[in-house]
Amino acid sequence: METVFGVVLNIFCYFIAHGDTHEDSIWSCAWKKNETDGSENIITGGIDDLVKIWRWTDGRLDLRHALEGHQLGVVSVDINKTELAASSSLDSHVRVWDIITGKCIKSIDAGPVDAWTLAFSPDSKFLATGSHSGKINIFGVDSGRKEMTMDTRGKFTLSIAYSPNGQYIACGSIDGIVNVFDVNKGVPINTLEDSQLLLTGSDDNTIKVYEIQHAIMAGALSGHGSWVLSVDFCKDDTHFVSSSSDKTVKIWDAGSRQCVHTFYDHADQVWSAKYSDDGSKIVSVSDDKSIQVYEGPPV
Amino acid sequence: MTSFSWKKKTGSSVKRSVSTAFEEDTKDDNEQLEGVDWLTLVPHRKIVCLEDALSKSARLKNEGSLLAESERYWEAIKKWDEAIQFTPEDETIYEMKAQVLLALCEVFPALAMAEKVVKLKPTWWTGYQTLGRAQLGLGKSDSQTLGHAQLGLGEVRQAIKSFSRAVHLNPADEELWKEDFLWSFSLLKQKADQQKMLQQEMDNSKVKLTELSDEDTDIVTEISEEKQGTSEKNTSLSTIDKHPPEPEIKYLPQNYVHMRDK
Repeated sequence: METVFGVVLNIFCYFIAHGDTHEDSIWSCAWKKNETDGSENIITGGIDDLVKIWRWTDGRLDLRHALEGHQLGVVSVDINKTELAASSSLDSHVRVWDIITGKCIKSIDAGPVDAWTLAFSPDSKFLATGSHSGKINIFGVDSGRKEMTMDTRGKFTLSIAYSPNGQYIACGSIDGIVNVFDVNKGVPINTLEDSQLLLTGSDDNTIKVYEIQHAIMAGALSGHGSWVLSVDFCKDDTHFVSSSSDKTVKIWDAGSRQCVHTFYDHADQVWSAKYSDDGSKIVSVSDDKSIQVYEGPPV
Repeated sequence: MTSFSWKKKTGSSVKRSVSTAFEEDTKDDNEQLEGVDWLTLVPHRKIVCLEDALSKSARLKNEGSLLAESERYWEAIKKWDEAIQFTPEDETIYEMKAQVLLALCEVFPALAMAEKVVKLKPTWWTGYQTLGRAQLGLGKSDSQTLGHAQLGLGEVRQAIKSFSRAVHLNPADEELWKEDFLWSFSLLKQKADQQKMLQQEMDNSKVKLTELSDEDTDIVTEISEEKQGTSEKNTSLSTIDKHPPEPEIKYLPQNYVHMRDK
């Protein structure tokens, strides 16, 4: 066990983006490689109403755009593989941005508290957001209209994620219930063919791994000292990352379900940690106003 | 065989007369003490603990909240202060204290308490809600002392941030959303609208108002000092006292007590 820890410690090094980040707490981040020009783009959003777009080049984080438009804190951001970014804020607006020009393409008023976290579908045509009534709204990126609604009949939907092939949506609600939907049929399901594992983080300080095929919980991983605020799978499914209110970011081995490394670099709770497309880097954002990028071995 | 004792050690530096004066006492002491078993002399105190710190703190906390419910706020605070002594890490006591201080219009202590709550437990949304309310309260008290009709803008912004954090931690609370968060946001909008109206009226009216900033006042004071210098020269020449008697300025006390209806 100790040798494994040592090896990982040597491999992971990290870069800190200092200075011109956000003025206040950062709540959300996403990382995607642009398919057309091959640039690595990072998007962050925080309580200071700004959405910022960064470019990662040769170990450096350069600010491309600071997007103004939201009137209240930005709850969630996502980015797709072409040139679009999306953000949702406490003023219940979903905005779609052009990464290259930095212009707001669309502003969708989702109604009071009807937009919380959002996620692009893998084909970038749709945006899924959770809402206060437990409904999942799917907006068309081009049309800017609500295309579909799926009802969990539950409470506030706090988090949302697409399966890699875009067929399924998983959402977690405030009362701890996780629902999985078939996007095409719009009905809840409990068996999946292609995606085997579902990962959740919750305020009972644990990360839970579900095997969707059998609809059972495969394991509860403890290790964080406070709420688990975000989880993300690595592209090759061998590792996953979690971030927590205990100011740490942890890397886990998906096979053994052991924590392989912990980063103690943030000074306040870490709201989000995401893998880059190739799984070699991780970006994390925190209440301490900083963005950190960790570089691991190429997968 | 000589025993090593304190008398030998200090004897050289202590005056002979002094040492002889105390010699008898010490001898007596030694003789008396040799046969004494110290353990039996120590008063055997039995400490009766009816409740441990945690349950005592919980009891005091409950008593405090009962008092607060019947609006006996200062007594409640006393109880809670006592409870804090037993459990200094319990953020719920600080939070209740902040609320009660706010009800008493003790804004600054309330703000300090709320900040402590948030520091102790950053994942507790209620702490941020109370912090936001305290910040709004501060804005209100500022506007009272400064004589403005509106809330201080900076405080409202801070309050909105605190409420944002609270909402982010728990978006499902209706009261927090509508009564705190959206309301404070509407305050900000109101203020912006008013400023816009004012600006429009300023633009439309023909009277020009120039506001003096800090730098301007510096210049003004410099000028007035220069004037004073020249006037002093004049007085020295003409020996006529041109300085008018300075009017006595009376300030209103700012720490007067508000009397409320209740």
